[in-house]
Amino acid sequence: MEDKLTIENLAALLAAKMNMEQADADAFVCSFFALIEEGLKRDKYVKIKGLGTFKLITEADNEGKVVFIPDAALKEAVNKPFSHFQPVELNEGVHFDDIDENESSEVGEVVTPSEPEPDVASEQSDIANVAGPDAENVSLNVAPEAQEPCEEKEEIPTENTEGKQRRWFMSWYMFAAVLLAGVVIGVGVMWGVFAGRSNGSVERSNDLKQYEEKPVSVAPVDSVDTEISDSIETTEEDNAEDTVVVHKKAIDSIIGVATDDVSEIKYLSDEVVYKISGTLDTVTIVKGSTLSKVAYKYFRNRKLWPYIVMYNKDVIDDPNNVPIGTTLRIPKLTPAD
Amino acid sequence: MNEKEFIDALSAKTGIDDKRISKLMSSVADIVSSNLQEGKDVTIQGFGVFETKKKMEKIEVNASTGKRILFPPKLLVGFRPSSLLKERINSVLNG
Repeated sequence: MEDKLTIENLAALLAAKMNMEQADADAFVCSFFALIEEGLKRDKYVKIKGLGTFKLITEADNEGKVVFIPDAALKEAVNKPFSHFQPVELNEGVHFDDIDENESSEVGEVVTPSEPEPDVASEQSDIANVAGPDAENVSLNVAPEAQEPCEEKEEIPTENTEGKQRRWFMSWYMFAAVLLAGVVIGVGVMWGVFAGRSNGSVERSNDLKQYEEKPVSVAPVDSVDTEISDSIETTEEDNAEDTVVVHKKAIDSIIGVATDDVSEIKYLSDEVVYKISGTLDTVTIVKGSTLSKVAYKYFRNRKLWPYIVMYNKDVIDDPNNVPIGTTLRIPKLTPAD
Repeated sequence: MNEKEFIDALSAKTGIDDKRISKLMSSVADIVSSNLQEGKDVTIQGFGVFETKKKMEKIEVNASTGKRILFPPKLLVGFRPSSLLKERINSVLNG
């Protein structure tokens, strides 16, 4: 038999199947297809159960185009040989040569229209070498379960849209990855800014303002009164400040600022105006040391560095640039009133 | 034109009753389907050709993840309208 069925063959088969006259079958088949054409002209679509839907699409240049969408039953029947395959993800180490060919006969019966050829358009170079039949064996071995095939509404046009969709998803993933990278970088920059702040470089200008506002009230007083300062230290600090001290200690342990005796150094609020009542200690500026670090070491408060500047006016020319090796006297701070 | 409208119209045209028409139509569909399954094209002169096309298996590589997906081969039903059908339909469309 030829691999072609004409309208005459169709009518003959119909006549045999339905026990009808050849002439009647001929007439019926002719009417059948003539009516499909009429239906297309009239309604622009004809739906026939078991066969499919014919549609008339008018294109931009006013040209009619007949499109046939096969019925799901027809589509599945035709694709039956491959219906139990579904797309599978290949693992990195999949070598097509390793796959045994036990089930290849099944494929051999099925492949009628043309011998398989490797579709190398979108494959990697190593895959490109693999011949079609081997690839089919892979699919046989990897997806042995009988499953529904990946559905496709139309033939060629849909292939393209599927590809586009895949590409669209790809770009979406890339976009997400870029976004994530952006967030990570942003967090890094923020961390960098705040870490930089701890060196006092950002806060310095604010501190200078504070320093300029307060100089009148911070008159150096030479007399040392330890009893008063002690009592005030204990009374001035309310509960809130106690908790602050705890936090400061915690932070201190985390950032590892060098302190000699953490327990003895009390947090001094920068909201109180202090007078200088003597020298607490002397410190030599080393590399990496800043006035605010020194202030933090002795007062647990970076913002109190202007007092150090005030007390060391004779050695500090520029508070923003204290040369390494400068020896500073640390003032003992007592609340002014 | 849906299934019922089509049967009614065909019945009016051929003088065969609806039930018989329905059976005949499903027979035609069966014959077309079985021939397509055997790999035979169904050629209707002056109307068009029903044919099967084999779409080869292919491996698609997702560029962003590097995943390789193997798509199985597929047999698809296609229909090519004959040039006569196209002409007749366009003559109706354009005037």
